[in-house]
Amino acid sequence: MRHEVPSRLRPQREDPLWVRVSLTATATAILGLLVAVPVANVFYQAFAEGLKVYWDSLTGDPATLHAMGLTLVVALSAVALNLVFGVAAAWAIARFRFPGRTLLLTLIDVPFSVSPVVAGLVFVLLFAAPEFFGPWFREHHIRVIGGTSGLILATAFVTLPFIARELIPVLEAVGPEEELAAASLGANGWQIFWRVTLPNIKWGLLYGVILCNARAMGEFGAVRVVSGNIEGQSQTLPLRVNMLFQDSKTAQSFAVASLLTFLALVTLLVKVTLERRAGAKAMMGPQELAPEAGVDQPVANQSLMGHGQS
Amino acid sequence: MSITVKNVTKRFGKFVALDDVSLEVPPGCLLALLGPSGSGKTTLLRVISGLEIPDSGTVLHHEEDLTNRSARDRNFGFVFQHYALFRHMTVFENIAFGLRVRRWPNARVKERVDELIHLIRLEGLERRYPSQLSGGQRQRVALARSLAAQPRVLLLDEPFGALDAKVRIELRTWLRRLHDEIGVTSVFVTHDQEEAFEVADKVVVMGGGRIEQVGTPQEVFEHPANAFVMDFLGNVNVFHARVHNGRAVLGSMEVDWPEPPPGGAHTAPIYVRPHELDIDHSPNGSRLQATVLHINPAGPVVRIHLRADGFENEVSVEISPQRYGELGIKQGDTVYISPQRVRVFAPALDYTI
Repeated sequence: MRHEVPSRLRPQREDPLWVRVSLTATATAILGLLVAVPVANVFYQAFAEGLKVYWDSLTGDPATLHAMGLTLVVALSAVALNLVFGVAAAWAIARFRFPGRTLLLTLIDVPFSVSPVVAGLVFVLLFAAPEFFGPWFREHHIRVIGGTSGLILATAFVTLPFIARELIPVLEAVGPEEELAAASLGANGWQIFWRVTLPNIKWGLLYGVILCNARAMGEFGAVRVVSGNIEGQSQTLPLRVNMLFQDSKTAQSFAVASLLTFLALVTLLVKVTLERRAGAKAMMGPQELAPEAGVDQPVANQSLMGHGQS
Repeated sequence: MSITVKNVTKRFGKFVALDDVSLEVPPGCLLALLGPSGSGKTTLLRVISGLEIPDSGTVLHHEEDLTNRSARDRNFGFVFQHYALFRHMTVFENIAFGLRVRRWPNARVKERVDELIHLIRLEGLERRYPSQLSGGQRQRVALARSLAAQPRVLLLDEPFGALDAKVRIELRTWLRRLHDEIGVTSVFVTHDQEEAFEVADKVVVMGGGRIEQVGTPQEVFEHPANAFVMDFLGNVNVFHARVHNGRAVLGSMEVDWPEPPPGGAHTAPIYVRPHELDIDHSPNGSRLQATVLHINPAGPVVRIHLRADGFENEVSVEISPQRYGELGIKQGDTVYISPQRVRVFAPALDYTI
């Protein structure tokens, strides 16, 4: 009775045991070797010299504490910039057909394909080199390169695609009809955005923000080039990890690294939770997919219509 | 006039969706824009609503020029084919939306929404989400939402298109009653002539971005303005009759037909509705011989499909069950049909015999 087996179950039943076991084992081994072991090692190394050393290396070093603060400021600013840019760009791309749309779409992807080091160099050239804006900034005593604003710019550049890329498919799936309906009901642009568009994209937006934030906190290459890497001044956490490691302060280095890893794990957890949530919403949300709707329809309508006639 | 559309043209790239269209909708009228897909009916509705800006022409509401006003400022209710309900809001909040953006106080919002919930007979479902409603219920919520802020005009884009046949018929009867109750000037788009004829006071038949005919359902049905309208209304037999000496001949009927230009077609399309054809066993002066292909006796009229000698198309005839009983015809019989009434739409010439 092979043909009675539901089609989506069939592949599992037909693959021989050894294929399934060996494929699963290979995947697990690679994942373990490349991901699980290194992550576990970070924590192992961090705690290798005891809890006290771990705690001291996180809280006892002013340079490390400064790096934490700076990382927070830089990441939050970059996320805020990309939040505004991402929503605006995604909305423009998903809702309108305009000349240059494809170009904009391609430009958004540039940070994905350009090496962060190159990105950093571009900013150095642009804001410090005499051929471009360097002299003007010097005249006005604005320090972009080596300052916090330079770090924010470089980080925002590297993380630029995350929110926009996350939102474009969400906006396209939601469609413009609810927004048009809101407009016909008298809502202005802001009302449409806050009351209709944002609630429909909030999970996708939050997901994009989380990914963007994780990437922003972990950014090394671009930040390394623009920061000058000065302790207690322009050093973010990834730079701090690197410097401690270079100075053979292995335990301290891994302690700080464990903090970043921990942040990454939290991000993952939030991401999975959000995906579950968004998945559940997707099942419920679009009106065409509602499983139970319409079942009771003829009866419900009949009685309601009948009501009207009496 | 409640709504006046003057010389409106709208292009999408090279496609001309509306070609110099003018239309007047009297106050309190329920008007149907009827036409096949691509005829421009939805574009015209969207131009009236302000969701689409015309390339040229004007839209007036009681002499007030609205052409450059956004959809938001027009206060025209718009009902979308696929409802476009706010999926993250309850039925109550969906209906309240137009009032909330106008900053009505909560008490008045509650009062107005309750009134509308009663009107659409969805009491008890206020806290449901759109995904928990049936198609017919969603469409009624969409209607209530568009009516909440007392729109000056109600526009409906294929309001019943996405519903199944039974609910569609119930809902359109309900819409007609609702319109009689509240009397707001309404325009709805449909491709279903039955729907247009049943619900509307006035029907506008559109084709190829132009208005082909405006009239009451009866006027349009009884006196189609041209071949397009006749064809679109459907349920009609077309005989391509030979033209000879300025006359087109069909059975015992002869009609004037301008002599075709050299090289032009020597046939004239003659339209005969199925109930305007008589059927008999003997020629009785009829020169149209036909063979019975199929008989459908189920229903209030008996439909007989025939193949007429000398004509390509199948012919359908409707007779009463009594007449069918008298005749006693069956499949494969040779019979004679005679048109009681024919319509021709000669080039630049339009009359009925």
